Amino acid sequence: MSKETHDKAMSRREFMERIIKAGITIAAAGALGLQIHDPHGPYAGGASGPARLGNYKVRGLDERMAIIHGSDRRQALRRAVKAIGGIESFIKPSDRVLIKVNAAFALPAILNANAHPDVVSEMIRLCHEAGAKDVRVTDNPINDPASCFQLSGIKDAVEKSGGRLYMPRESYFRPLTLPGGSLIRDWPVLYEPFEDVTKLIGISPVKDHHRSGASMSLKNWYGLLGGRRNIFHQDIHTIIMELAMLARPTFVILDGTMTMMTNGPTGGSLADLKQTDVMIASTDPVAADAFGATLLERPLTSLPFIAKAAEAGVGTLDYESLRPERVSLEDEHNSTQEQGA
Amino acid sequence: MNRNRSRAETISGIVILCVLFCLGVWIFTRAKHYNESAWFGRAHQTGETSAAAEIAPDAVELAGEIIPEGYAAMGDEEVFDSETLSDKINGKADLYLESGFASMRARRFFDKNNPETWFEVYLYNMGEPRNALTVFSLQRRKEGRDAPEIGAWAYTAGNAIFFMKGPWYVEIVSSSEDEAGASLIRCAQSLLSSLEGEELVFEELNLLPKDNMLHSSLKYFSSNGFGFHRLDRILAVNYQAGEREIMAFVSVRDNPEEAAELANAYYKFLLELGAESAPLQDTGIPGILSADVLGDLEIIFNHDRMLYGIHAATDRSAAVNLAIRMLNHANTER
Repeated sequence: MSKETHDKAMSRREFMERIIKAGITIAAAGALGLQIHDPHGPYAGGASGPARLGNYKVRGLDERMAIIHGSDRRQALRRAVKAIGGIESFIKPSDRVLIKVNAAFALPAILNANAHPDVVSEMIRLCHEAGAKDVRVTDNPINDPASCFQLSGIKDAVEKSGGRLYMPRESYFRPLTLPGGSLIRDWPVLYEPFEDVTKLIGISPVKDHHRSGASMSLKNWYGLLGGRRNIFHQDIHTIIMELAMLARPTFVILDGTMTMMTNGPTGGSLADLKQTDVMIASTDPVAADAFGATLLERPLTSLPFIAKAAEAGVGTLDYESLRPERVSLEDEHNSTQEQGA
Repeated sequence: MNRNRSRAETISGIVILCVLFCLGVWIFTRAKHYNESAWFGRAHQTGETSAAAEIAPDAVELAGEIIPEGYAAMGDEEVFDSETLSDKINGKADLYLESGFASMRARRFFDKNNPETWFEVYLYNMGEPRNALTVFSLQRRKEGRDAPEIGAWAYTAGNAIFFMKGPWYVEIVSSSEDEAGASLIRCAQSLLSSLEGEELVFEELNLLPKDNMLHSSLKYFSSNGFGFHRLDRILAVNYQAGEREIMAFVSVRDNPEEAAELANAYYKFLLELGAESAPLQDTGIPGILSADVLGDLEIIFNHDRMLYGIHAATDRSAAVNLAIRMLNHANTER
């Protein structure tokens, strides 16, 4: 640049030209920014506002538990719900119910790696019979969600029994912090299916789990987490405890008709399963899991997450203190027949 | 520059600097609030293929001749690496990752005449044969039936077939409750023949007495044997002792000093866990160590560069007898 140019005063025309060029540059940069702008930010695109899962227990009702022996899942489920007070004690005609199933794997129902479709469909029917306005079913599976719900038979079961399946999408997640929690802090949780829900039911099988020792009612809530949730495997017992504090269900169904004794959580062979013929219904998921440990033939000391959840005030390890109603479907059937005769 | 700046120029400059400053603050704030959870493996939600698709170029494709007659592929092949394996098998991934896992391919095939019936093939590349043996043996189902029609290291268990060859470990799982049928066996045979890898020769087995050995109970720990991180390259196998079974183990170390040191280290590990010393008399085994672990007996000794032991025996006298047999066998082998 010459001295002459330096010394030359800028004309009005020249100044206007420069202003216009600068304006065009800024506008172009702005347009480019708008083009690549992510309106949802780094929270996987969920709706705005704080998310809460909360307490879905029925107020004024004491803790209840039923242990039903029988191989017919549908019958056992109905009897178990009846034994804890009947579905009407929990579900009212205005209720919107969310059923959180364990549908983690794209595996067939026979392998017991997911909630059994018979249990899911029967629970939906029970809720409808009680007059529920809306019955939703959801999970955020480990494998591809569409394959999980399809191949496990749960999608079919939900559709045929009049439920609504909420398959996870990125927009269904919202960041959530558990007050006082050390792991669930600003973490994406499957929230959309919880919108307007008044009752929450958990359905899960009884399974061995290579990392946590077992996967039952409490571990089922792991399927509400989004994000890179595998990092929680490093502190699996604490995350299960925190999830138990996050979601307080109306009641849970723990399906021990078949128990995956080995090679969990996926199993793979029928040889991993043992026919245990038990269906548990409980308003206390800790008590349900404490009993479930007996089906897995494991001491509670080998499943620390159950004691942690109990210490956090979620429930009791002493399931006998709930005086669970024990019923054998076969004995009951024989007794009914004898009375009829 | 000598000329005076106009007021408009000054204002424009200040505005631009303010905008740049705001942009800087915004970028800094966003970076400060980086949320790890947002950057999760979304592959299964978006249908993206894992980057692992580019690994394991030596793997056999799950297509072509391995598909039994009357079956067709149900979808694309899925490929997983150590970062994504848990997206497929969740908590069970740890077992593979601790045992030298390299990659896994999986694919489903359905029966064209009965689309409700399908099976899935899981092909694991474990890097080397002993790693494959680790995952094969540690997951072996007790009710499993040896399947020599497939291979030396193969068994069926209900609806599924499990086998290994070289560094490969394979699971074929059917959706049907029926026993693994001819189609699955044909698939296994075809896959086995297309996999490259030497048949595993396990010389450690010769270091143990043959009588009453239960071959199907064989387990191999490439690392972390019995929960002790230093106990690697452990071969364990059960023996029938009357009504009960007793597990014996052996590991070949680099030299006698290392074998003796490892025996002592494992013994100390047991004591630190709360086990009690349980000295054994008149066994004739030099340097034998033994501990009572919650009522079960653990025996450890070394012979030359071999580390020998009995794990969690419930019958003390049978355990001691087996230990003596192991030492006598070792002396004979020399």
